[in-house]
Amino acid sequence: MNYTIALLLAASIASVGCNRPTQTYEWGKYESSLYTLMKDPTSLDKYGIALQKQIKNGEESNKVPPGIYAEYGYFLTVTNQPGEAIKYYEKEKQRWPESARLMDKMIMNCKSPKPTQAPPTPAPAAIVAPAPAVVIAPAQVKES
Amino acid sequence: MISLRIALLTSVLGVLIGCNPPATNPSDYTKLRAESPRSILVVPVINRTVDVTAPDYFLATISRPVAERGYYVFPVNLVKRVLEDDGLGDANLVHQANPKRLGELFGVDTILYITIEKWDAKYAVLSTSVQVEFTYSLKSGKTGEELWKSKEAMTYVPQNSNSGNPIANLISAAVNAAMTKAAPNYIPLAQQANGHAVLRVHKGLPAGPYNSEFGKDQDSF
Repeated sequence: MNYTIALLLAASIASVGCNRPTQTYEWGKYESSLYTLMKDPTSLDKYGIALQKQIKNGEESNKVPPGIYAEYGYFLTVTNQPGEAIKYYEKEKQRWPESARLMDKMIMNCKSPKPTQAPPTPAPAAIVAPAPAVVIAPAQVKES
Repeated sequence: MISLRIALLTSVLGVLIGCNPPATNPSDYTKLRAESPRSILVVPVINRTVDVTAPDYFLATISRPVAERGYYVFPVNLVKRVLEDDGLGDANLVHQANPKRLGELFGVDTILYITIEKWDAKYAVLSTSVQVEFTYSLKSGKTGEELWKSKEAMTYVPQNSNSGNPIANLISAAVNAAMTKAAPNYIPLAQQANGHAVLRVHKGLPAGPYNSEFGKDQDSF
């Protein structure tokens, strides 16, 4: 009995001691996979899978963190899946209205990839992705 | 009786680990409270050290603590790439750019600038230590004014030495463990540093609109 009281007391002291909040969101492997991606761009697939899992787990408990739908949308953009990407940009915008302006831009960009900006230079490392073999590049169809 | 002691000890330990040491000079939150931002854009980190990977550690671990404080944090990787596409890939350039321009470009309330001033790891057989120093500055995307800033400088001495600071001890343990491996992993250190910077009472960021403490934490911030 004494033991239980002591434990309860100890627990209450621990919780009163400070107000460190529990985690609101599902973070999964976001941090480590992002760090790995920054160091090694060829780990893009792993990063994408980590985001996918994080979203799946997060949606089950309504705990998808801010920015994660958009990060996954960007992953889909660089892996040439603009249609899917738009869905995730829309999700981000709907869940987090603060993202609206940027998401609108990303969606526009998906609908008309690489607009008038700059002549068709090969743009070194403009995109993280180890560029897929086949790239849909409407700019190349331009007639002279 | 032994388990009782352990239980008590554990709880005391929990208190020590959970709390951040109070700041000596409380920050001025007048401007921040007046603007009451909802969203934060974290731009690439400036690195004044020779450790080339240090900024990546910080960028990868900043979203979690700031989002958990209750703010909308823009997707850091997407933002980094979009900035690169717009010719702003260099951290120094972004930090010099007018915050209002970024505010407009991204539709963001505030921009968070982080600079790593020091990141010195002294590797030795018996006593390895890491000295870190970094600054955080939050600027308004509407006025360009600085709304909040913070500076952290710490030395982590692993091994069994007790620095007297429970958080530093905790980090020491993590760093110590990381350093024993061939490729050092500083993620735990960066996590602690970023968490510390935003959570510390009277120094960190007040709760944002997505935190249940929003508007009720004037005593602490």
